[in-house]
Amino acid sequence: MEHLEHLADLLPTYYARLFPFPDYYRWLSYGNANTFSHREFSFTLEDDIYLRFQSFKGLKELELEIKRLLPFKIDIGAVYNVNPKDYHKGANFIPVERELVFDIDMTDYDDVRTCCSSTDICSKCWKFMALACKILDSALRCKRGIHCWVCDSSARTLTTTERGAVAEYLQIIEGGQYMKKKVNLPGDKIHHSIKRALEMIEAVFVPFCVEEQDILGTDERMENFLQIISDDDDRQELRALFGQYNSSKDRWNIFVKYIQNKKTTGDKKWYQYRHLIEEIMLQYAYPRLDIAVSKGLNHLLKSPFCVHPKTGKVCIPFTANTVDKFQPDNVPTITTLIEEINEFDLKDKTEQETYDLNAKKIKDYKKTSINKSLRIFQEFLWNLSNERKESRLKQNGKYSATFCA
Amino acid sequence: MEYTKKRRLTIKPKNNGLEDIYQHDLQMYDFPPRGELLLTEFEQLAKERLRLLQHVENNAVRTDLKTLEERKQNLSTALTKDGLKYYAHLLYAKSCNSPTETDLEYRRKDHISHFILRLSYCFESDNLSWFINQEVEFFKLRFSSLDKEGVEKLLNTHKIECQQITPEEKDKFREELHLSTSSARVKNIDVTEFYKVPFHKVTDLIRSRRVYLNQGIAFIPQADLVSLFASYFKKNLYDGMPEARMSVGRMYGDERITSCLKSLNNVADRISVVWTTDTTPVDKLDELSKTSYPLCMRILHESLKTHHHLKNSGRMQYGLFIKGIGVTMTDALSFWKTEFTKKIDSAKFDKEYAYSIRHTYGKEGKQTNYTPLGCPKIISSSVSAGEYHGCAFKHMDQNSLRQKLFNYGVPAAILYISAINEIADLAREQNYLGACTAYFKFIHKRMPDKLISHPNVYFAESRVILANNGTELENKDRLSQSGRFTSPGLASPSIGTPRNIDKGIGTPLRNTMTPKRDRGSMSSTKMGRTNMTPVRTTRATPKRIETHLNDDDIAQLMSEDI
Repeated sequence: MEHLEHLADLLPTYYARLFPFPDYYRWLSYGNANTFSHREFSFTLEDDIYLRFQSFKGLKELELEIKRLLPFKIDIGAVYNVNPKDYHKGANFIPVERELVFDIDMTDYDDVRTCCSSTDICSKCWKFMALACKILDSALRCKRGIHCWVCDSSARTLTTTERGAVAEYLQIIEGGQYMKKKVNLPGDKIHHSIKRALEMIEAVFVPFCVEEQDILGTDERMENFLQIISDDDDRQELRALFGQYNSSKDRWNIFVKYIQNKKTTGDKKWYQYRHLIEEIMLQYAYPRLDIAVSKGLNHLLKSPFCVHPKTGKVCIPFTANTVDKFQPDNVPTITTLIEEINEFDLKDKTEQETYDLNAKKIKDYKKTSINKSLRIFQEFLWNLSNERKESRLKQNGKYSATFCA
Repeated sequence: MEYTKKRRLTIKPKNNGLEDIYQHDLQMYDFPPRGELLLTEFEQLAKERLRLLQHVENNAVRTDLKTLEERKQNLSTALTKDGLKYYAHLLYAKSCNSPTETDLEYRRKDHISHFILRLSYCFESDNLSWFINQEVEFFKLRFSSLDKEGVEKLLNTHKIECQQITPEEKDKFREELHLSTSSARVKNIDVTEFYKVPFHKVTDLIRSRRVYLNQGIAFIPQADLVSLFASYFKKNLYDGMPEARMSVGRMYGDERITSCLKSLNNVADRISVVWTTDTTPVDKLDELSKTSYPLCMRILHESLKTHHHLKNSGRMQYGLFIKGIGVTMTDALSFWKTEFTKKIDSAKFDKEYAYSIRHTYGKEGKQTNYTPLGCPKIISSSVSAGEYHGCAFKHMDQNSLRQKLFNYGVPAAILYISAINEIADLAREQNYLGACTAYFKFIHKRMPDKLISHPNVYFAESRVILANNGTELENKDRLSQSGRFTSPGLASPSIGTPRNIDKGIGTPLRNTMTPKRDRGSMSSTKMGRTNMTPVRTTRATPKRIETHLNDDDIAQLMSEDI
């Protein structure tokens, strides 16, 4: 992988002045020092040197090691029964706890997005992520792509089977290259959880998917869309109908009308089309989860606040409420952050000289645009510690944070 | 637990207290049996239980049995035929409260035999999960026979956490309950009882989105209570295993018991993979993919050749398959590298992919010698956009499947429209193994000798037939090294002991005999030569990869796909 130029030169400053070690430690210890010391970290160093099963006694050791090794990437694994560094070769080494995590990869949207492909992302495709966030958030009362970490104590102690069940409960889109129709809703009714998701999708489907993504805008896209219809005659008819209209929106409308007409005329095929419109909307807009990551206890997932080695963007937390305003292009990068500190210090210095104020020590991160993200993170930590306080009473609330990579 | 006592010989006083011990037809096996038992009875009970579980397994994979009643009926017939009448009886037992002496005797046998198999199956994780899966399956079938009283009694005896919802709650969630429970199972919300249980007790219902879920509480209708019981039952079995292991430890040294226990668990027998015993050169894969690959593998091979990439699950499914057909690790590395480097540079390949290939061969990480995936695993795999793995008959839609069959079949005039229809119809009826067998039939113009339940079995069967047909004269020189050249008589595993062939451990069959083939001197010289090729005679016991899917190394294997 080609790296950001001078990344190795920037990282010492980043880890020394910006990486929020105390908060990071506060998060991963969950009020218990052992939870932290038994946690696996893995580092990717320069030249793709990969270190697994790192673990640290406490904040200080973590901070020193990171500053010494200057990892290009940090991954967080599970909490084990013993400390991973010394005992991972032992026979009795088992993961006991980890956050319930969801990983959504923008690449998985390649067959339904038309603006970008592969690892690129723009504000248009961010809307897929925004929708995914809201749907996940509503389902869990709880991601180039996003990662979602569900951190309350009941989620952290789920078993593999239970994680699998939750992941599959949320997984609606299934099928590979040779399965054109990827959503199949069984039965006459639509499950409550899917209905809830559909309500969110329906609200934005036409402006977002039909118009902006322009899913019926070109011949190729129309053909992809028509592949979902398994019946040859209907596909032909629809193809002809689409030909009579010019815009994606008109074609979508005529499609909806065509299918609904099947119902009113009592067509024999109605049953197979009973959920078709909903299914297509889900196929184009429902979150595409990488469920292997959610199922295993010991999967590694990239840590928040680490720097993307290629783009220099910092992986920062955000909340589902603010996801619409989130601009993937405006994510702070290591370069801009360090510039911001320097600018601030320069200005500060001149001001101090002018007004001769007592030199007040301002935390470095407060001088930069990462400040806002840290506030979100701290609020999340505050909720977590509240949960711990309440946990003796009851623990059903879910706290989650979502991070953008 | 007092297993040790059981082998002392004594005569059991008739039903002394049995009624107190065995209050229910359906047991959770939450306490071990006490008392004494003849060694012969010990052995017999154990063997019969094993046969029972094998019947249960065979029954579960039958896709032609649609309803629960059909499944039960079929199992019952099989059990009765095999002289296991008491299990057939237990299968339909309602939990009658005033058991006869026969009932009690059956319950006792059920109890003891279960615990004996525990001793034998508690050590190795493959064995254990097989054992527990079959026990759970049998439990579910039996549960469905219980009457209302029987269910309630079970609920009370075991204090299973489960609370009936109040009419107020029902009103409050009426819409959600209606939407989220299948109409086939719940006709009318008003007359159905619902129960509140923590979601992790009914993961199967959550997974398939069959119940309403609110704040971590699942609302399950009466008809789905079986899930709750089954998960309790399963947990109980898992929790009992450490105890079972300790009990075996205490018996250590008693040859009579240990040899009996050892004879019971040979899970390798049940893994139906056929390891090809010789090396298959990679330059033959293109051709083999057309002649001898099952459809799923042919598609993977083709996509790899077209896109010069396969995503992780595809690499795993195909990589293990070619390992199974005898591609060496060195060859496999160069094979994958040749393809992948048409798109990425070779350094990137070495860095990101080579590890997982060596890992497949047990040369990295935990050094587990993984076994090629079988059909059940492939059929149940999840396939996402941009992926090509899985079972072609399940994971392809009808149009794509027909198109593919057409493309593969027509140039060679192998598959005519009627054949395509037959295969695609079987796939639509979800008879995936049937569809695969039909595909085999049309490609080879005859049925396979063995049930196709593993891609490597498909391959091996194909090689035997093609070799015997002598259709590949020009290739024989090299290909013969891969085919399982067994003589026609012995090649058919339906006679003799098929299991020995399946194991792929120990000496390959054809080393032990002279191939009898009178189809021209040329081929027999080839045979002679093949016979001389050194064969791998020892092989580590293969592990089923699916049970290791959560290991660290797999986690790494599964790591980001670019």
